[in-house]
Amino acid sequence: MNRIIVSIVILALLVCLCGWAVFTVRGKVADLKSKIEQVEEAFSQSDRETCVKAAGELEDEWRDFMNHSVLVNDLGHALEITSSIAEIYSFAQLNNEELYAACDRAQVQIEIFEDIQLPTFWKIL
Amino acid sequence: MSIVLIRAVILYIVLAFSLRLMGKRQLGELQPSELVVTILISNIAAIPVEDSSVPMIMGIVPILTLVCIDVVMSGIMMKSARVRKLMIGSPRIIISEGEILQKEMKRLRYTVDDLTEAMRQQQIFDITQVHYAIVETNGKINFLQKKDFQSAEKQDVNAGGSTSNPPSVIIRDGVIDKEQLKLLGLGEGWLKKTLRENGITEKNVFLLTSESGGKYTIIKKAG
Repeated sequence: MNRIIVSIVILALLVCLCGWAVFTVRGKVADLKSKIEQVEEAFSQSDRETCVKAAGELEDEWRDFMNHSVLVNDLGHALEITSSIAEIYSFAQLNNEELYAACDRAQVQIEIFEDIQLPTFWKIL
Repeated sequence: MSIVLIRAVILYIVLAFSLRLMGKRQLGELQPSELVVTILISNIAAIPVEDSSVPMIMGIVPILTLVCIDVVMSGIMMKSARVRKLMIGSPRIIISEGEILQKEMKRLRYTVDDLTEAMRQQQIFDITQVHYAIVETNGKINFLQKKDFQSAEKQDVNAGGSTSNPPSVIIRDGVIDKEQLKLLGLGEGWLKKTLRENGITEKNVFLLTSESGGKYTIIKKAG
């Protein structure tokens, strides 16, 4: 009987862990998306200083997120986002118009990344 | 390299804990569902060790999930005969009153070769000696021989004698097993007295076994 109780407790903990992982990923992704929007907005207003600062914060945010990489299903996709975010920072420093393209790419990649983590019926299959 | 080493150690601990959680039943004859879980666990455990890009938690979560589901299911099966029958099936008779039930064998996809092989494993070489055979849920076939071919038992030849538990180890290599001593109903006083009678201390005993009645055997340490 003890074994059954321990098993039920472990199963409950695992369900909680998985739920927490999904919510954490969603929360972190929302932060990243808003940071990218800040970068784009600052760039469009020609506020270079704010743009570079926001791009740096975006990089830090992503690094912090990668510390939670154990929660992530697809690390290969995460590496692509790392390169896109690195580009955003470079373009912000260089004041290059290609920053918009890099931001859009990163946004889409992050949205797909978020989508991958959600346990929908078709993805489970 | 060091990551692989540490992961292997952690997974060893997780697997040891998992098998402990599954209990002794798992280590004996495997039921179909237990066989599936065992194969799956061994495959899943190998992935994070082989591929360091896969987080180890991705191995630990499915292992613990499978083990816990298996334990919970075995608990449910213990309570419900219907679930037990659904999960592990029921034993099937393939020889009754000395007659082979061919339809049943076909249904179970058992060939004559399977049957004769199982017979030989149980030292039966002639099918006419078999009175009854049953296929257990784990696939093992058990046979009951006809009366004329069964070996004689003590009661058949009126050889009496009482049945008692086999001797238990009380001291192994100088160390007293107090639990066994208690189980046999022999106190430490009995042990001290026995050692005194033999003129030795526990440190000099290689092996001391005893039955519940106090009949004992002592083997002293060499040298």
